[in-house]
Amino acid sequence: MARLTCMHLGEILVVPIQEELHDTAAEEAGEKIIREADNSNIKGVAIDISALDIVDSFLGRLLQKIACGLRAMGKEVILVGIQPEVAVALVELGLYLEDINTAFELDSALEKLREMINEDSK
Amino acid sequence: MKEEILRIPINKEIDVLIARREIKSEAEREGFRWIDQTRIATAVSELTRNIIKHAYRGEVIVNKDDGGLEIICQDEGPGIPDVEQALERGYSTTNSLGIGLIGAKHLMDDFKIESNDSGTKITTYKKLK
Repeated sequence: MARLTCMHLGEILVVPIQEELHDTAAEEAGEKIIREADNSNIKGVAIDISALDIVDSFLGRLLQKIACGLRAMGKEVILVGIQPEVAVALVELGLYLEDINTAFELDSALEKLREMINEDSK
Repeated sequence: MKEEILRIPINKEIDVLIARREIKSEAEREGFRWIDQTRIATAVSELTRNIIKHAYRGEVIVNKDDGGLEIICQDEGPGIPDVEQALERGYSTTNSLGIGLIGAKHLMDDFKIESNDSGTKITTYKKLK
C-alpha cells in the first residue's frame, strides 16, 4: 500500500498525491480518500496532483470516479495543481475533466472549496 | 541509422512506471521538448498497461535515429481481434484497450498495429522537432 497522507484542515480534507502510483496502488489510494472523507466533519476534499508529471487515461478516469463518488457522498471536490504538460496530454487522450472543479494551487483551491461549502450550507 | 537504446521487460504493474520513467529520461537526453517528453511517457504508459492487462507479458524497445525515437511495444498475448473497432472512439470509451490505443495514437506522430493470435506489435514514432 502506497503511503498517502490525508490532512484535515477544519472542514476540508487535503490529499497530496506525492508519488507515482501503479494502477492497484492508485485504486487503493482512491478507496482511502473515500474512507477518510466518510466523516460528517468533512465537507470538502482537495486532491493535489502537482507532484505528478504523468497522468494517463487510467489515473485520469480514476480521479473522475473518485470525484464523482465524493460528490455522491455530499462532499465538494477540487483537483489541484495539474501540470501544464499533463493538461495537454489529458486533452489529447480525450479526457477533458469537464465536470471536475480545478484550481491552479492549494491556496486558491482552499478558498474556492470554502466558498462552495458556504454556498451549500445556505 | 537506427540504434537500439533501451529494452524493458513488461511483466507487472510497476514495470509500467519504470518504462515510462526511463523512456521519459531518454527523451529528455535526446533533446525532446518537455511537452513531447510527457506525450511520449504517457503513450508508453498506455501501451505498456495494455500489455499487462491483455497479454500479461511483453517488452518495450526504444530505437533512436537521426529524426527521433521509435518505440515498439510487443507482446505474445492473444492479439486484438478487431483493430479497426478497437480504434474507434465510441468503442473505446467503454473499453480500456481502445482508450489506451487511441490515446497513444494521438500523442505520437506515427502509429502502426500488427496483431494476430500469437501476439501484438505496436510501432510508434515521435519526431524530434
